[in-house]
Amino acid sequence: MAEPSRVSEDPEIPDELEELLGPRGTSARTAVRGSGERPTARALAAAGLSTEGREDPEPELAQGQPDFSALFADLRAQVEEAEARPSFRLKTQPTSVRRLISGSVFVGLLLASVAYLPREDLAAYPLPLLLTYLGSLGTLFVLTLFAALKPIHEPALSAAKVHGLTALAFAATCVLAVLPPFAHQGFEPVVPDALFHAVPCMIFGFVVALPVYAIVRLVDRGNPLGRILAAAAAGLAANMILEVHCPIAGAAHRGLGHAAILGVLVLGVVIVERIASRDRVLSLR
Amino acid sequence: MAAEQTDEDLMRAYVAGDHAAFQQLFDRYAPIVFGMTRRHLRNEELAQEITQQTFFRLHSARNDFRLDSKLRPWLLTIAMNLVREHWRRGKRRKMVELDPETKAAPQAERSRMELDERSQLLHAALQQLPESQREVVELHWFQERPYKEVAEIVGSSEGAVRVRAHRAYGKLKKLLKAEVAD
Repeated sequence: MAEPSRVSEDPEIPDELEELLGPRGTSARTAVRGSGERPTARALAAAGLSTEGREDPEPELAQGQPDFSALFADLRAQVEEAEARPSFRLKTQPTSVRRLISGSVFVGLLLASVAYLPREDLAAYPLPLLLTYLGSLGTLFVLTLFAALKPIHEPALSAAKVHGLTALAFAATCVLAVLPPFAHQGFEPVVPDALFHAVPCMIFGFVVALPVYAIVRLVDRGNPLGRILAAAAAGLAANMILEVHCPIAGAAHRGLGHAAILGVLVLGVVIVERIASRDRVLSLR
Repeated sequence: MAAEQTDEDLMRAYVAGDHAAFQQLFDRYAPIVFGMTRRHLRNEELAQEITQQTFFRLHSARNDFRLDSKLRPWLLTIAMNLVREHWRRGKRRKMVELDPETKAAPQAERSRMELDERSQLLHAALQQLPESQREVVELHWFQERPYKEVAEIVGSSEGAVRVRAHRAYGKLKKLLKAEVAD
């Protein structure tokens, strides 16, 4: 373990700070010490100090500290209760496995759509264009999925990064929906009613997005803002699956029936989370 | 007497299924995590809950533990993420009375009040720092972690952490000196 730098040698620490804060590592102990007296356990506890690692633990140090035995017993009970649930086993898989499971669900749905519910003109869809579409959203899908399933022992992504990634995903679906090379692929609607045609696509999109969202949430260990990223990943997945399923061309249809799915999913998750978190105490389970 | 097992030995034993190792890890680190979270949140109940959740999450993430990993940064990162999540959710609770029992003898009481007052000053100064600076002070000063490890835990570069530390310590000095002068 690296040795902590000495205060006197640390250029970031101004002179006199040690006198004010007390020696590093024991500073709060000193800071709460009155007139050179030995601090009581309560004073240490009041300063939020750990008594761990002290050379001469005093019997009174236990005062003001929680009953760690009881905390551990409660923790064991929580662990045992969680272990009894099959879904918890998924959460405890290594991160690479969790990501693979989630990605596999999407790939399975995509292949099933190609095999059983392909767009009528799939054979006529220029392959480079299709690969460009799937490659662009696929890259964002992987990024979003990796962010959603980031290991919890690594620093969590900031809210700004999460929102930025989600906004980028939504913008990409919108841009690809209205860009002429993509918007012109397929049949023009018989009835020029974008909303009318958009509803079935949106429903289909939600149906395929749901399993993706569910599996990402199922293997998630409690990442902050994980729901938003899971919704974004599910929205991207739905757009890719719709691209190989829906033959209807036109920017309005693609914008309302395809791209909007991601926005609606994310918005829905945000609203539900806001409502649910009003009185919620942090809880992993 | 057998040499004490390292944190990493215990973690490896725990990953292999040794439940006793989990308790040993809890015994070693729960007071550290509790002290750190209480200092951040000023709420004993919440600090207990986050301490439990930290270990619960450690349990759920144990299969990610690599042979070359160090446990302490792992655990502190999980705890810091939970603290940040708490702040993000806007669940900052009102400061609680940490020691409502005041049945001590007069001399001890007077001493304790002085100690409490001093600790309040320290906490008040810490609370005036931005969260990003406070967590650096917490890890570098109180937990005595080197800058490199602090950077690893908070997810920034070592240079950025040094800048935050420099600003934080400068501000703390100013605040505490002003309090002392008063």
